[in-house]
Amino acid sequence: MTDDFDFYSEEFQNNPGDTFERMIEHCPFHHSERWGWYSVFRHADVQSIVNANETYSAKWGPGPAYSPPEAEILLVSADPPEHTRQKRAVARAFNLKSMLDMEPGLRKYVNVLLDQAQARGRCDLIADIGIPVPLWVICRFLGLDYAEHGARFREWVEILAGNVFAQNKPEVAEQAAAAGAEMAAFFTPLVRSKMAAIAAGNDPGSDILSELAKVDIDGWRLSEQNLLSFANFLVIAGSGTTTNTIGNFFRLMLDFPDQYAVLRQQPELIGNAVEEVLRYDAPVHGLFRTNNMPVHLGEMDVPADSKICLMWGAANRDPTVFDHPQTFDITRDPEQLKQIMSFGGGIHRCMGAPLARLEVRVVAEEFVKRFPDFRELGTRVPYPFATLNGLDHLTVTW
Amino acid sequence: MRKWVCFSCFFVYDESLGLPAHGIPPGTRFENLPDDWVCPDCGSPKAYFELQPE
Repeated sequence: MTDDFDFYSEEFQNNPGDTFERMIEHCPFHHSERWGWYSVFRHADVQSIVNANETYSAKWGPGPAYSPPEAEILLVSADPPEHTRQKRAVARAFNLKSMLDMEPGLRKYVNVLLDQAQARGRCDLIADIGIPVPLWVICRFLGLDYAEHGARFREWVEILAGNVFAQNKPEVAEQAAAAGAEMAAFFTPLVRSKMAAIAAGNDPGSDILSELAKVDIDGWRLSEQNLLSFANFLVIAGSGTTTNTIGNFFRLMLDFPDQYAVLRQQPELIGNAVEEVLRYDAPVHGLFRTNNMPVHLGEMDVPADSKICLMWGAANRDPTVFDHPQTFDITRDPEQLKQIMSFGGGIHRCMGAPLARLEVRVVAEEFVKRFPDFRELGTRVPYPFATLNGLDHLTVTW
Repeated sequence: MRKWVCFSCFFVYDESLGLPAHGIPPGTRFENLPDDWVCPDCGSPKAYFELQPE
């Protein structure tokens, strides 16, 4: 296939939807000579790959770089049967109930942020709402004080999330290594204290790391490295993606004021609107699998151990699944919206999806109640890293 | 009749309800679902389901 798609180009990064539409129609499988990896755009093809775990492995990591396989990297780089065992264990503590239990506290916190914004008369919806909300939730899961740790966590997220699609830039890799070491130095004593408490027959607490450390499945327990990996992943994967989805929600409401008018009149559509935001602008364009054996993608022969990017954002724009996929419509058929791939699919479907949805929904519900009209101030600043799709600043008033 | 939870996406398979839209009649026990049956929500295989505690 012709190399007419460059993931890192401004054209794609600034307007992925148009590129996805073109690639779905004209070039559903693509090989980039420049970057060396393959991309898959159509919904059915993405879906079939996420369900073919024997052919397509996660062991080389979710980004374009080949991360050395390490059995103890939790979930994201694991294949069955290890992945199955890990996910069963994690779900004992990090599950729907534990996520939905966050709602009352989260709603209060969102209103504190909106009180502050209202008092100022203006608000950067990313810095003042989108960034603190998921990090506050993560701190709450970890039993940590957001005021003390939030800023440091955000620095790590910026560096380590940015590194996922970092084009092998050595300076970014060095920063990422340093941030990774800082995170390990922060979380290792915490994890060890939980494990030591259990070993001594004491209750380590009720935070998520304690609950995970307690999980015992027929004598098998998550290792120290597993728990560290979970903590890292919770902070890195659980915040930037949600920050950008919150930002995308507001950006789309500003770009399509008729849709915000519908939402004001029918706030019961907020849940559906969140799904449509996720469909129209997936916070992560795509993530990778690596084929264990030679495969064919369309007419291309793909050698074993190739990096293949599954374009979640493109699958969400596939006209064989979604009517008028280029139209942003918060009244879209909920049955269609069940097909969105913004959280991936198959065994690696994002476990935190219900939590992300909850956070965006609560922010939207409280904002719509308090700010029936809002308008943009100044210039939007795009998110600086190719990993995520969204904005870095979006300042508004009302 | 029991309920089974997909620990990949938290979809619940309720044996008493089955999944008529997917051709699985009410009352179908989890172990009687085909071996290649997958979670209708996320696509995970049967090995990713656990019995929901009462």
